[in-house]
Amino acid sequence: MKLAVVLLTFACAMALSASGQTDTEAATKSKIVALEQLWNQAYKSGDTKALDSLLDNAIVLVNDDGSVQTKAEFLASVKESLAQPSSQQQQVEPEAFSVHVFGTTAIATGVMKVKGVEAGKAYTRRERFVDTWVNKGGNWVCVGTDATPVLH
Amino acid sequence: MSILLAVVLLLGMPGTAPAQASARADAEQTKILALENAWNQAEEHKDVKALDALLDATLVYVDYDGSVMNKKQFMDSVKAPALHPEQIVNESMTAQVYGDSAVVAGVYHEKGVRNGKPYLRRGRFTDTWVFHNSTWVCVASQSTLIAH
Repeated sequence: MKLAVVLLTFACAMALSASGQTDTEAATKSKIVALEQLWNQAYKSGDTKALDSLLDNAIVLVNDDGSVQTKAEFLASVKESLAQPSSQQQQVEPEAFSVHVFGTTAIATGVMKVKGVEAGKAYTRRERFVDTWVNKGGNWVCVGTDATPVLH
Repeated sequence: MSILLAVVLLLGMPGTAPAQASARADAEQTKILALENAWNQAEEHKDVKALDALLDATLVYVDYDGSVMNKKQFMDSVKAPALHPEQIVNESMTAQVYGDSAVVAGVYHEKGVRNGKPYLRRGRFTDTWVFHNSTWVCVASQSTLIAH
């Protein structure tokens, strides 16, 4: 009888624990989705203060042409774009989006439609992105982002 | 004497902890960069068993053309008889370690033969590694061709 109670208690504890983990993971996914949306909005409006809080100081930024930028270079480019709005690449809402959580690390991946002007010509293209987020001291910051044009 | 020893130990602790953390990060960086080279070797030799150990089951792999593959699809692409990679070399690799995760960035050169035609590619890659079950596994990998 005692054994049955112990086993039942253990099973309940395990179920609660598993449920708690799922809730935590779901909450993290929601948080990352919100941060991605915030990033998108901040980029569109040129809000470098908001971008500064979202991006880790050591972030690796790989652009769709394979060029790489530091955080300072990226923020400076956003400021420059504000002065020349016609040259800025505009991100549209992501077409597809998924998040994988690994403890204090999360991977956000999806396809983004972007439009802009290059050499005087307007373009629209699709890019696959992977963003890596890390929870540092309770705050999620992006530590890596890479964009690859979808060719097919 | 014992009080002096305790004071010395207490004074030493704050300085020691960051030094140990830094040493651990350095050691992990070295380990992860070695895993990146092991990945290249495994691809060159179509060693899917070695690849299996390096890649997490939930791997997200974004290829240079923007296509996306899961772990099985990527392993199948490596095994494809029509693909013969002759050389895959990384350069300018950096690894940033954040506790149990790490981001590696670098430039890769790949040459080989696909469907009887030679190919040559140069691209930027970003790999995310996670320390899981006492080992580092790659959970995301992306490559982007360098246009200029």
